Amino acid sequence: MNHNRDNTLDRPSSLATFFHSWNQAWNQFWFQPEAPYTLGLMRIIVGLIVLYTHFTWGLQFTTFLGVDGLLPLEYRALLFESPYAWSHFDWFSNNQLLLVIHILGLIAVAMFTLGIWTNWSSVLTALLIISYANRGTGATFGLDQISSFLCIYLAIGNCGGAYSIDQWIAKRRGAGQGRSCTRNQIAIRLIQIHMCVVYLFAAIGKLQGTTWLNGEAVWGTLASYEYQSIDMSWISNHMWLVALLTLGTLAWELAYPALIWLKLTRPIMLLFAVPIHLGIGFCMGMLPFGLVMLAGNLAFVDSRWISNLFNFLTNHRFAQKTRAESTLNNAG
Amino acid sequence: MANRKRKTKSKEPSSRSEPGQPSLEPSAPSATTDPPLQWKPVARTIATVLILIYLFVVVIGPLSNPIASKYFSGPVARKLAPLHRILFLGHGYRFFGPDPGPTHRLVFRGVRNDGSKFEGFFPNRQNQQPRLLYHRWFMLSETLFVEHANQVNPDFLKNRQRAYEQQAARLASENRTNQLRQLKSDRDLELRYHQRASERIDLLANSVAKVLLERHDASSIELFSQERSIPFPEEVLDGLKLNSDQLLLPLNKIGELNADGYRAAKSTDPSSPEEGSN
Repeated sequence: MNHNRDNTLDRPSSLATFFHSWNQAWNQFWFQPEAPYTLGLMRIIVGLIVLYTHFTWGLQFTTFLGVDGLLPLEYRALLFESPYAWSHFDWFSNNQLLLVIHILGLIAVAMFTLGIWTNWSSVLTALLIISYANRGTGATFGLDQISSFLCIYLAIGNCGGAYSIDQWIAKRRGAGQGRSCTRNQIAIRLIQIHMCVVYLFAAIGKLQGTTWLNGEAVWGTLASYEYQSIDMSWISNHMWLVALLTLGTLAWELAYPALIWLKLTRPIMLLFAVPIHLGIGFCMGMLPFGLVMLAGNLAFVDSRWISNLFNFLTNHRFAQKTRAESTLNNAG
Repeated sequence: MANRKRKTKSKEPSSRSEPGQPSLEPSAPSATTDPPLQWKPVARTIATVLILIYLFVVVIGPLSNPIASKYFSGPVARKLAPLHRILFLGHGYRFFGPDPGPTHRLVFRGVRNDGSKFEGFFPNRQNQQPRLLYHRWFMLSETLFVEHANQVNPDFLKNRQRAYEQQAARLASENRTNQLRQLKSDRDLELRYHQRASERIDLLANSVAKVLLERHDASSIELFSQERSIPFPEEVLDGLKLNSDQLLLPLNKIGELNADGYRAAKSTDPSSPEEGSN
């Protein structure tokens, strides 16, 4: 039969090979079981940010979110014209009761951060942050948008599978390390893709303006008094630096959705993310926003790398402790 | 096949390196070292469909906000709006785009119940701490500005109505029913947009005014939006401070609240340029 083979006969088999390899690649991308270390670290960082966010809402809880607060419930209904922009604030009309729910919410977020009953506390945290973000319509910003989708994906994955009280208890009961599972991989992939969508559209938005292209946009952000948290006015004497930062940020955001997937360029993209987001955080008074963006970037850091780093740090501490103890014993 | 899968599945934990062990798998995926898939093909197929739908929902958000295609992303986004709202998606993610613009603060002036006058503004970093709380006030003042800026001049609306009536009469006389139907539909949308925008700013400003009135034990209060422009680098080099009053534009009145209730400012209401600095 082989000697009769021609191109026509080859085609179906090459097509089948193509689909087979495509299917394999797809399965590997979405369904390859993944360890929980990245998600575990992300849970702690995002949890702390959400905890802080909720805590600050609580500082002027009734003023902002109370029944007769600054933000009327009907405003959201008029803006979205949708009954689906839900919030538990719609269901209760008593400020004391809402405050009690707020405190319970803080406890739930703390449990999520620590990794206690994480399968439930992660879902509860995701619901809480969406509920508050919807209720806070008119006073929300990027922080709420990013932290809400990160919480949803953390709830999809087994984010309590590492660096959590749940895991600590499981270990004491004789269970092994947090196991790799498909849920983790799906969660990680969703975060990665969503981060790319965020950066892509952030870059597209910037391309519609002029100051991001003429290199002055960073001046516009640093010279805005309402945003300013560190005096950066000295930079007016170094506009070349402003241009470099502006065009560098734009180029980075444009390139991110493509270059973050390549093994060679991924570390570079992640390296640049740190000064960009910390710069926004420190100079423009939006540290939680900067940190939550960096937490999203963590999805691109290999789980094993995080695990090794954690082990190195804990072993290092353990070694130090042992050395100190032996020194004490020798002295004794 | 299924048996083989089950067998490999049972080996899964051991095939995955434990943390801290030096024998980690190579980071490049390969068929020989990757742990076997845990989900059956049916589960993977269902998950694939759900993932694709979900990613479409995610991407349609920024594709339709703030700019949407009338023929694709706009109508699709309207259909997907329930999902966007339920999951708090559908944002534009245009951070500091297209250009970092001027900022806006909310200035208020009122009379207390004892007759004394007071005034203030937010966001105010002196009394709104921590920074995240300050940022909430800041976002509120920006929302008030945007909603107020969405208001259109009543004269403009009257002119639009006149032009619409003339066009509708002409189309009716020419028996162009399809175009007339489309015109009516567009006009209804436009009217609804303006009406909603007007309701929103009145509602929001009224709530803010009420809270401030109560906080200051006042009998009346006026709200203004005030823009702070971004200085040129040369001005800052010459010693201009970022918080200088020179950068503040004249006040733009939003409305006032007193014993008679809330009253939105008319476009003819004077904004006092000489009172622009606080």
